[in-house]
Amino acid sequence: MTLTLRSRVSKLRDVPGSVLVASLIIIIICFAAVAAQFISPFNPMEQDLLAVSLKPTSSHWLGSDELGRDVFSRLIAGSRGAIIGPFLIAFSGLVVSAILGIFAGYRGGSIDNLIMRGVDFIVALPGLLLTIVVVSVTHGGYWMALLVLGVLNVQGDIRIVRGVSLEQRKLPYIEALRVVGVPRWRIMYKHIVPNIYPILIANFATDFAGALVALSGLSFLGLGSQPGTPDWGRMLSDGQPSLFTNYWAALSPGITIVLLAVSVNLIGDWVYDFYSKKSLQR
Amino acid sequence: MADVLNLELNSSEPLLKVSGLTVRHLGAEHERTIFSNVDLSVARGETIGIVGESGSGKSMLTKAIMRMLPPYMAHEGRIELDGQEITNLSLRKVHQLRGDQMTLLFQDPFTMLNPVLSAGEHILEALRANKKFRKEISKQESKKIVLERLSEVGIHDAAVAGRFPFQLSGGMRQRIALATALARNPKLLIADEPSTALDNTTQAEILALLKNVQQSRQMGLILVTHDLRVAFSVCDRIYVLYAGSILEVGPSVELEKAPLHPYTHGLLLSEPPIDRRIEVLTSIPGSVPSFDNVLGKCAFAPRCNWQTQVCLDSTPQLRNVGERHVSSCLRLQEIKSELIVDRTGRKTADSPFVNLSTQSALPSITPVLRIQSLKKTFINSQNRKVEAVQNVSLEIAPGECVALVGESGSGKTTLGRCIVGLEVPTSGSIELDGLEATNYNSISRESRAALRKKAQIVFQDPYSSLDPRQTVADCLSEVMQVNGEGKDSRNSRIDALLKHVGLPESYRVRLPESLSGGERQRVAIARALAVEPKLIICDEAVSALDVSVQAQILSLLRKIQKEMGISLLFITHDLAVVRQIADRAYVMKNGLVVESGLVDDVLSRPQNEFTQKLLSSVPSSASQLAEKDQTLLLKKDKDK
Repeated sequence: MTLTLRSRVSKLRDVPGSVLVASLIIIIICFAAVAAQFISPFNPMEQDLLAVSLKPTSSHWLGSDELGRDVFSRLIAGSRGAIIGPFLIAFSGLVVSAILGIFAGYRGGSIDNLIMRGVDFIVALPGLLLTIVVVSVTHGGYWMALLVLGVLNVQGDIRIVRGVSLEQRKLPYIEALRVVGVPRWRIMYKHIVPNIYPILIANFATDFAGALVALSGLSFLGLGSQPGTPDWGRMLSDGQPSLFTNYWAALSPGITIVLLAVSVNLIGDWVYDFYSKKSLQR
Repeated sequence: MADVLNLELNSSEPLLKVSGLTVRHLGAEHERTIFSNVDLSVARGETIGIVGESGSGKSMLTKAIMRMLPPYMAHEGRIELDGQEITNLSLRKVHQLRGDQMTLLFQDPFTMLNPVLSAGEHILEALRANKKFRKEISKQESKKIVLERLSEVGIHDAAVAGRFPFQLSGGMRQRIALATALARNPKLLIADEPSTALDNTTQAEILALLKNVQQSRQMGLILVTHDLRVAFSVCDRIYVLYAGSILEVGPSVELEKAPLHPYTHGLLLSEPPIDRRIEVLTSIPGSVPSFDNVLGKCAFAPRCNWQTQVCLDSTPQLRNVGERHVSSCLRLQEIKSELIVDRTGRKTADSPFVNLSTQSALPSITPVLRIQSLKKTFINSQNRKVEAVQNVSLEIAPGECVALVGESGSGKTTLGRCIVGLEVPTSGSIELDGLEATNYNSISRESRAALRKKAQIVFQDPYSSLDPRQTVADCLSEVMQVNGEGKDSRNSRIDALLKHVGLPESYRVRLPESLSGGERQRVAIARALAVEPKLIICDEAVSALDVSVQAQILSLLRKIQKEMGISLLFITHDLAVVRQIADRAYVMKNGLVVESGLVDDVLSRPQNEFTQKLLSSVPSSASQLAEKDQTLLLKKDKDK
């Protein structure tokens, strides 16, 4: 009779197949990120000029790139950056939007105005252009890209969270808590947060996927990660010239990016549906 | 079952004939039965009522008849409309029947109409769905038809056709919806709680209108309602639906006078009378179970006073108990006489607290609540001023229960919200037990905390007044914690509070989703009691509950008032409830108090025109009116 995910999903067959597959993909990628040194068959940085642009073989599972580096090992090495960056962006979005969004929605008035005008300011910025300019001018690389994308990303989250908090605020249970004398901060973070949880999860998932694609895009343009580092976006651009001769080198990072982004979204969607359905069935 | 089918008014083919209809909710986890084996018939020109509490399956029954079940519901059985079987008709063909043959009127007049279509366009839209109409009728003519339809539902002002839903009142919207439903002259109208969301006076108008239209068109009408009084006032025959089974079917006159099933009997007794105060309110213990929980036994057995082993052994069938009257009670013959005794033997309580009547009589006591010329003005979306409360003064003595009566928009809820600081009054003053409570924002934190211990509020909707993610114990514990109580005393007091509101200790770990409406309301009351207030404001606290549960909560509130000496401000639109619980009453209209005094005076000898109108619009059938006259006569005799 509880609302926790764990108790509800006691049987795996209650979970749709697509979500199971998506979870498996994410688990595999996370495992690769953690255990990169131990599982990669080759050193991802090592160039073997005698084995350039190989097709997949029994030793080079996904072939090798133009400089003779093992594509599979580079994919594994790149998974770390592909997970950490988007995670940080999505997580900061979650935290900041939970704090500012709920604050704006619940308190209203001038505080709401202040926060939302700040949000409007960010919305008015041309996002991708700004990122490209800032990252290239500061030579900030990967971490600067994270910071700029993180700041740009947070506006959407704040708006959504503010909207749902406004909705919660009007509900009798919140009013009853006010009348009983529960302090404001406690209402916001002990009562509103758990009740808008599905939205936060869904936001996290879309942010993650968006950030993954944006970061890969920056790397593809040669910004973000340093040349030579095993990064999925950079592998994609490195492999692009030989797309038709050695397509494995370009396709495999592309496919992994899509797989990861779709998997995260699928899981986010499912968690959201799951909780919303529960709250509908009162 | 054949008995039921012989119930039609005349031997000719009935308009609607439903036999053995079962609806199941399909699900990955488990299948649930919503209702099972329902037989029902409507003759031409007949009005039947389907009466049931929430969870009885009545709304799904109407949807099944209209073939509007959602895709995850499956039906089996037989539905015949006007001789044509429609049980498994393709949805396209059913679509043609809807509107032409049968039509559905929903409960909520506020969401039922499309906000971007004007009233006239709604009716036109319904007309245009008919191919023949689209081809043959010109624009001029269709305009005329729209006006005709409007005048049929009592709207004679042609300008209304051009108005949009948001410009119309609830009653007007319901009229428009009715006109739309009737646009293509259907033979059968199904009205699902058509008057529930409306004010008493509007409710009476809409019901009269429905009855009128039904009679003048000689159309079949199915009225679905939870309110027996409403059903009695409109229907010829009534089907009593409970937890997915029909328990009793009979002519409404008979059902009202002598129900032959303990459930109908209990339902009738739970309905508080408006003309006298009952000493011990009757209620049915527990709440409505789901069909699957009472499978294989009498559905009502778990809550029935007369339950024996026989009732638990098998599912009872409907049996003839009179002319056109069937009941499923197995023990009917044995308990018939007891039902009658039960019905007639209720004691009327004396008029309460006459000596506590007004403040002027007892000047030495500080009132729990003193409101002086309170005003609250809102600015609405069109930037216009709305005076929700204009100049209201009110006092409540310790231990007194005062009712605030009025229709929606009368300002009664705003007044209640001002008292607990959810709104800040524009002018005037509020004093709670001698403390200044006009503006909660302008006082120090300490005095605000002190005020919280004076007045608490219980809201109408039990489903949204508890945090869905908090267990019962956490909810109560938090209230005590913020009021600075230690952990040990909190723990022991939670048990005491639960006991007080009649919930077992095992409910501590329950989440709201596993509680019924009545139980949630008990938790909400416990939460209010947790701060040990002097005054509890009940804002329509029993209006959203089923009748059988309503009486439980009313008895609980009576007990709290009596035993703990807590004053109650009972905000409601329901005059019968006022009679049962309140000592004094204030009647509000458009933000003003139009009448006030002892409940007995206000309800039995109303002076104000508006109060009289409110009283006369309470649905009652002919026999009830006669009874009312009799008690009035008796009272007059006594006075002499």
